[in-house]
Amino acid sequence: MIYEAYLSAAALFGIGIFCVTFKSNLVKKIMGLAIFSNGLHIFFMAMGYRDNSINPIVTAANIQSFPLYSVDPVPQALVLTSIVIDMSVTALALIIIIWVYRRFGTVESKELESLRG
Amino acid sequence: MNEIVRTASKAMFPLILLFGIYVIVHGHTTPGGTFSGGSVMAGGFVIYTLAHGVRKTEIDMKETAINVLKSVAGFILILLILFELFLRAALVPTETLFTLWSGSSLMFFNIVGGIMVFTGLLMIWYTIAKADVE
Amino acid sequence: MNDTIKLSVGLGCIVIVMTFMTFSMLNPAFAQWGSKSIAGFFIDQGWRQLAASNAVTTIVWEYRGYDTLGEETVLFTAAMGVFAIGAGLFSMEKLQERSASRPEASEVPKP
Repeated sequence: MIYEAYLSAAALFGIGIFCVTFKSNLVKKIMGLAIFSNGLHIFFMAMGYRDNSINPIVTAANIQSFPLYSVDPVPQALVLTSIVIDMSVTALALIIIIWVYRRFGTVESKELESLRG
Repeated sequence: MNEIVRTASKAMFPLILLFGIYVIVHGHTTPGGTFSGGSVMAGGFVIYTLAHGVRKTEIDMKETAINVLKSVAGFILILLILFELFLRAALVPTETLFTLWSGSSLMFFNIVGGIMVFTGLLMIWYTIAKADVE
Repeated sequence: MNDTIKLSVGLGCIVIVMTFMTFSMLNPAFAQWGSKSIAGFFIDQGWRQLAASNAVTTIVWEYRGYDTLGEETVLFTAAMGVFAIGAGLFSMEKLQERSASRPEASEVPKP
């Protein structure tokens, strides 16, 4: 149980949710999305920790005691996929924000709510 | 940018690419694999573009080659994943462990996936970097 | 809403989520896994069946290979989407004709 990882993951999650809901600039909302998904990745990977453990790489020295001492490798594989998907969503959202700026001239969500046509 | 930054980026660029290829190819023995190695390789291109400007980079490195490479890598990746079960015995032996030529089809998966990640990131970067060109 | 209400609601969110996530891991049912779970199977049999040293790479490409196929599809689709929107926006002719018709929306702010 690593307490620093859980506390920092919870702090990142809270800051990210705060940025997505309470900021009015669209670019800051995308930054909040990236922050809180990273907090979730840290929390998910820290769940697989084991005390006095080694990384899940088999070498010639630890081939006998590998199933007893290694860390859970399944959350690491799932988080690897999730990081790539998060990067794709951020890239697509940023290009849509550039398009919105060219069309309407503003990036604040308060002014975008009151536009007509 | 200055002369110092341009010369330094031109010198660092092949070494960054070589390190990215090392991380991709050794993905089955050390931590790494497609996404870490592909990000490092794309980072080398980003450093070159920031130092020299988009116009000069377009002259130096052709952009249509990136589109072709991405489509070819995607096609080979789909073929490899769908038919991996039949190709496994013919590709690489599974007797030797802890060396580079082991892990029956993981090295080919890592190379093709690394090319896909690298070209995808480069396409996104070049599209956004051309927004500010006069 | 004025600024103090925003700040206090934000701090309340952070504190609630922090306490929930920390105390959910103290439950002893989460922290034990043995050789009968799926991670025990991957660690025991992964390097025997595939002769590769990295357990995470065998999970990503062999035991969960279709998830990686879906992830590459998402990456490909996002790059195609960015290219489809961006190549239409940023070509030189379109920039000049848009600046002729609507001058205030085509200015890129200088850094």
